Amino acid sequence: MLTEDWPIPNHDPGFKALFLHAAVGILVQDPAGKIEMANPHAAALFGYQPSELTGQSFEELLPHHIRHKYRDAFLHAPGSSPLGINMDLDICKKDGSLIPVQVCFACYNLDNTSKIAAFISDISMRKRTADQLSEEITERKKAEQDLQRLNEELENRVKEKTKELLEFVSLKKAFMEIKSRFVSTASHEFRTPLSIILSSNHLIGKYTLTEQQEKREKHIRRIDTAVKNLNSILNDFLSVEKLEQGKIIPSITSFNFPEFINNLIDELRWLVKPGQQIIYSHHGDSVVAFDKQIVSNIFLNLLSNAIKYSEINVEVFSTVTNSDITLSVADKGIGIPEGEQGRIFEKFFRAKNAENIQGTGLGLNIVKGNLELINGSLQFTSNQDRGTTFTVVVPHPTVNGAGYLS
Amino acid sequence: MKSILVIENDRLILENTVEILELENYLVYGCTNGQEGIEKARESKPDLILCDIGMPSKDGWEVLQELRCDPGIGKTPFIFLTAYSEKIQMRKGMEMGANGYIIKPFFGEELLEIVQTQLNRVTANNLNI
Repeated sequence: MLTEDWPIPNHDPGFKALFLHAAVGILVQDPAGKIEMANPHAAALFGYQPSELTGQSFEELLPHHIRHKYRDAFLHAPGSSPLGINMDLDICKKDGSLIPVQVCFACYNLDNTSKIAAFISDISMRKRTADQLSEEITERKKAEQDLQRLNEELENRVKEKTKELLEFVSLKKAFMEIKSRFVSTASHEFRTPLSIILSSNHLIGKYTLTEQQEKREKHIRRIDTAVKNLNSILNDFLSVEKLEQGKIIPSITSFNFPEFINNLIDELRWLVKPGQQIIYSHHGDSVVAFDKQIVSNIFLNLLSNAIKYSEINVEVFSTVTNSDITLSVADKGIGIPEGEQGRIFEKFFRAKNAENIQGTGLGLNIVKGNLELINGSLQFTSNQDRGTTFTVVVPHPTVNGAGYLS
Repeated sequence: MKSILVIENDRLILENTVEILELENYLVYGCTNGQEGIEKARESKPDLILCDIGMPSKDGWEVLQELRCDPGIGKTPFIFLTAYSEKIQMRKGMEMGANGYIIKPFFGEELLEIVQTQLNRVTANNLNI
């Protein structure tokens, strides 16, 4: 339809030009809210023919929830006011779809009749852009959050790896330290028995006369003792290695306990000092079922310590009851300084007062490791310069009870 | 007859060392700890001292330090006989004024040779050769 033919009353040409060519929809309503005039832009905006809008209630173009607001604000108290500026207002098109608009109302009098003009701008493009922008912002925020999360994850992984690396470095350091202690202890401890072997061997070579047989025999015995000592040092190192590698698997056999202990005491005769005695007493049953090697590892270490660290008699007690075996070794030797008692099970630890007595510092660590294998417990009392008593209690192994048979 | 003081806390090493030296006609004194060794050195004024390092009641370092300050026996040849085999320990011994450092285990001949060399050096010094 040509704008010249638009159905509007005869207004002045200026109004007509503004009304017909404005790029904003204009609807003029009577005081009852009926549309009297609609410009081409308004018709196009709502999808109506110009004649279809005229006579229609403006309110019907509004969504239900704001109709009362409109009624209260303009029909009952008319004035000049924007409605919907800076807010999304949806208006119903002819086809029922909604279109976001910005509406501004103006009231005026013409021939003593009040009129309401509505200026309607299509903001769908702006809204779409705003929506897109908002979507982009949301996406960007999400991307930023993702990036932050990835950063945090990366940071955590770096922290975790650094921790692992530090643990590895510290483990490696500890391992190197133990290895170095191992080498220096082995080197130092081997030198004493080797010195005895070499010097006794030298002396045997000097005693060539028949009547010097006794002297030769004395030195042969010294060589024997030194070799046993070397063997014992080697066994200490091997025991620690086996315990650490989990290579000791308890194996149970039946045997006579006091007889076995007596044999072990005999094995250490070479270590006994002149005038020193080992006094052994046993109570309770004799036959037990245990791992002999583990009992031997525990007892020989406790007994050799008692012999080494005292000058006088060492007492050994054992008791076999229905539930367990108790074995104690008591000496009246140099004792363990109170401040160092907490460290005696550490590998290579030597108490200050024992530094000059031959020893690897592994014995009690071996005792502890072996006891753990058979669910045994250990207690000790010690007073410096008065002596030490170690007491070991080991439950009888049963298939399900002590556990190590399973 | 030259006299030698052996200070060594391992009973068997001490006995064997004393025996090796006695068979070569030295007059030998034996002590099993540092303090006892210092007292014996002051009392017997040996021609040479063989001393262990790791010992109870004053170690070898302390024995050497104390004896070197004693005008009566400060110049007596002093040889460490020890299981301390690290170079740093050996250097420490020599820097403290020891005349020799024998690391265990030692051969009898090696011991006798070092002892003899030290005693000869003292004799040569005394004769201003």
